[in-house]
Amino acid sequence: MIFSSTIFLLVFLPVFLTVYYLTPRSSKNVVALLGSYLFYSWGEPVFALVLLSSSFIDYLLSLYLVRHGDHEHFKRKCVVAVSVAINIGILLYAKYSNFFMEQLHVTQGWLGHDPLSWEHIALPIGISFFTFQKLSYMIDVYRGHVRPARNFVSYALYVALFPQLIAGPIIRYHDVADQLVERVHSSRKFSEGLYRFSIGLGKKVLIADAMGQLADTIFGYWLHHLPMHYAWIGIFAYSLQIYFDFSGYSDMAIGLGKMMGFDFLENFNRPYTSRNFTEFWHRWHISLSNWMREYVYIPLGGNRVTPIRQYCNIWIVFLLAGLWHGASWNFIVWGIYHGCFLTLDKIFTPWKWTMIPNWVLQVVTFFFVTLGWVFFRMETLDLSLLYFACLFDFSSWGQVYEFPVNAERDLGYFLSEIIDSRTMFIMGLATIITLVPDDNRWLLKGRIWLRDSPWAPYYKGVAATVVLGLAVIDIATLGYHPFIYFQF
Amino acid sequence: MTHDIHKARLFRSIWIASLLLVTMAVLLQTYRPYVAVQPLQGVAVSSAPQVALNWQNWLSGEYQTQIEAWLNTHIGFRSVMVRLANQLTYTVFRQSVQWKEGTRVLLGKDDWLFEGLSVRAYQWPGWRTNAELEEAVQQLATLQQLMMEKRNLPVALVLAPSKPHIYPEYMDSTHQQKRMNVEASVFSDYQRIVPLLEKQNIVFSDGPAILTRLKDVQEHPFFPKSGMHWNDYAAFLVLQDLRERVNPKLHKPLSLPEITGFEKRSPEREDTDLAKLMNIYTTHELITDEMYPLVKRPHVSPDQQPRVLIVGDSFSYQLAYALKHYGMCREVNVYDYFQTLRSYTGTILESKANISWEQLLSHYDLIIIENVENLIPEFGFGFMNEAITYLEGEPDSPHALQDP
Repeated sequence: MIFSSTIFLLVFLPVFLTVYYLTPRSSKNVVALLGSYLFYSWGEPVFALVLLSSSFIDYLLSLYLVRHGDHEHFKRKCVVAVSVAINIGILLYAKYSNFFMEQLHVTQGWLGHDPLSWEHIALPIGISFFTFQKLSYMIDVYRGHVRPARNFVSYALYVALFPQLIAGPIIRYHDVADQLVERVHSSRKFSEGLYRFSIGLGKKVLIADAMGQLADTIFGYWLHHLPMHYAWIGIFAYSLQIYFDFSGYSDMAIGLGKMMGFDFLENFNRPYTSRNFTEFWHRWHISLSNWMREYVYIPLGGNRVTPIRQYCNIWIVFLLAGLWHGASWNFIVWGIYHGCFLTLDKIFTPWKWTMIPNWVLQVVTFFFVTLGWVFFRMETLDLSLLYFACLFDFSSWGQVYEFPVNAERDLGYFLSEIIDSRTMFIMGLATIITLVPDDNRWLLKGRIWLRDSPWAPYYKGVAATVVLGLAVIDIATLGYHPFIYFQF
Repeated sequence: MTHDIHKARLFRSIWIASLLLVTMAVLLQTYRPYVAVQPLQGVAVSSAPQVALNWQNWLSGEYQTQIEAWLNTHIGFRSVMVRLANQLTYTVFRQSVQWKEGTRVLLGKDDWLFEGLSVRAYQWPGWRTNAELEEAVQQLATLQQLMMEKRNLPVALVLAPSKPHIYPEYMDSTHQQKRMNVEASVFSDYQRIVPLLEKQNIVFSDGPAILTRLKDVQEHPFFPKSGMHWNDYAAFLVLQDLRERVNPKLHKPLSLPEITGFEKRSPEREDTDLAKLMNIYTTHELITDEMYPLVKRPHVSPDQQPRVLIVGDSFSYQLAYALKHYGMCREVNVYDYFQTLRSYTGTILESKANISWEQLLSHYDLIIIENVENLIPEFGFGFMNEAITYLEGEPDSPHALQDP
């Protein structure tokens, strides 16, 4: 089940929230847990059982950690190692085994051996997110940063809480441990959550999906004939799509969390206004950056090592971050690409860049981040390189995309056909929302007004209702493909 | 200050309660409809999912998939929501919602509507290889010959024009420009097939050529502004040409009605199909009165008129309507895409499975194969192939080679 679906918006969510609020405070976690498992098992019925049983094992192991003090250091280490091995093992099996087998088959092909038979494994939704949360719990308990969950329901709810279960943000256990025990439910918080959820839904349905449609069209073209300006529009649309899709989903998660009394940390902070890659990763998927810093980068030595080692650590972190996003060479290269720019940031940090205007730094950073999305979007490295060739094929500038007649059934399109006035409007709006710098005075004024004005609650309510309404009617058109004479 | 806080709290409560009420109203409408809403045009209503809630169906995901798919198309007030979304796009951006599948409606100049596929075919002519076209023409020649030899039954071809071919000036400038960008040396399937038909002496009426020629001298349009198909008048003009070609071969000739004048009235039947397909609330803005001919039917006894079968696409219905309504024939039916036999009004008469070749060939006096130009050379949609196979298996007919 996804948030932007009819069944979630019009059936699951209202029914769940009604039951949740009618339930006494002491049982709210049970209702939230049952709701979360219903939500997950709607799309992943079998893996929900795996999630439940692995959560139970984690919980038992965490209890073992508490019962054995620091003097049994080795035993405690072994227990954490077992838990990490189980969770990473499930992740490796479910997410990466297809990739590993593909590489093995290639190697076997080189060596002239017959490929081993292998049945493709379907990727369980959200596995990367909840695996990191489970690891966070075990490590936090092991380090003694938090006490283990009061009961299994609390722990299972932390892992499976449906607002953040399938697309984050990745919540570290110590950030929500107290809220799992006690949290505030109020109409103010609920309406703030509803506002945030509506904005997120609007970002996803009204902007990201429109940009996605444009990007899909252009990326679906025959790359050998794709003119340069089409390619740039395609990757720009994809940059907007991925931001509005992901940040919209995070907004919805944060909003839903608030509606249930939780306060999750922010996951995005206008990342395309960043002036370098380091800043970008402080603004983009913040929960992943935090997780990686806390559980990988700092244990590797962090900033307290020699510069060369530090650069290596950055590369390791981003190699893992790339792999975390998906099992393919493209994601690995994407991770390395970001690692390179972060290393450059570290090297040139002393320069401070003060002589260059902020907007220039922002444009340059956005340009390179956008280029990086090519690896993210294309299925293979070959295709990525082909797309890069399109992006810099200056000779094709101004040409109309077309196939030679009779070569294919699906022929080309004029730009004015694929970017109709609606798409152009949405793209313009999305660009303004995304790229206007943080220090823009109108933006600052708007933020202050939203914070201080007595009218803000009304304004937010009306805005959320309009956006929610527009998003819902847009969702209602799902599967709407009228045929002129369908009855014939 | 406290007053403001109370007001804000009251507003929040009302807001949340309203949203909940709206949601409940939609849910209730989904499962127990209490308000009659106008259904969407062009959308089939699927039946309720046939999947039981049990452990096996749940684990396989079958139950969830079916329920979700059903809910997506049956959620209460869906048609209202879809119309609102379409209306918003139309009102704000002056365009129709473009869906990936189904029939696309494109807005042209002066609110002329065009159908996506025909525009696309007009812009990018020449899908088919010469060999494919030659093969289709050869097959048609064989069929015409066999039908005459074995059944003394004339077969004629009618090429119907597409709206963009006759009225390119009403398409928006992008679509016009796109056609202009195609090299002059690239010929459409239609342009390439006409000489082949002539070379093989096929009996045919070239609708696109006839109407393009008449467009400059006729003040009355051949296509409705808000519809996809040619109008009855255009179909009649092509039938006039066909009549001259087939009558010498018919025992019972097609009659000739007289057009006594024209009247302006609200569009009827399929003449507003594209406007309705947009599924917006202001469809009436797109629909304007159309000119319809006033016909004086010929005084001929039905016994002296032929029974006609048209095998073709959706453009066949205007031919059929003109034939019947203008009194040109005794009976006319449409073998719709060679799948279903229908009356000229579209009523289903028989499905393909229940129709025998003998019944078909002995009942009719004339077979017209109709093909709109962007579907060339799908002549008969498989009809020709099967008819040839059937006829080749038959002994020579006693009627063979008789002069009509």
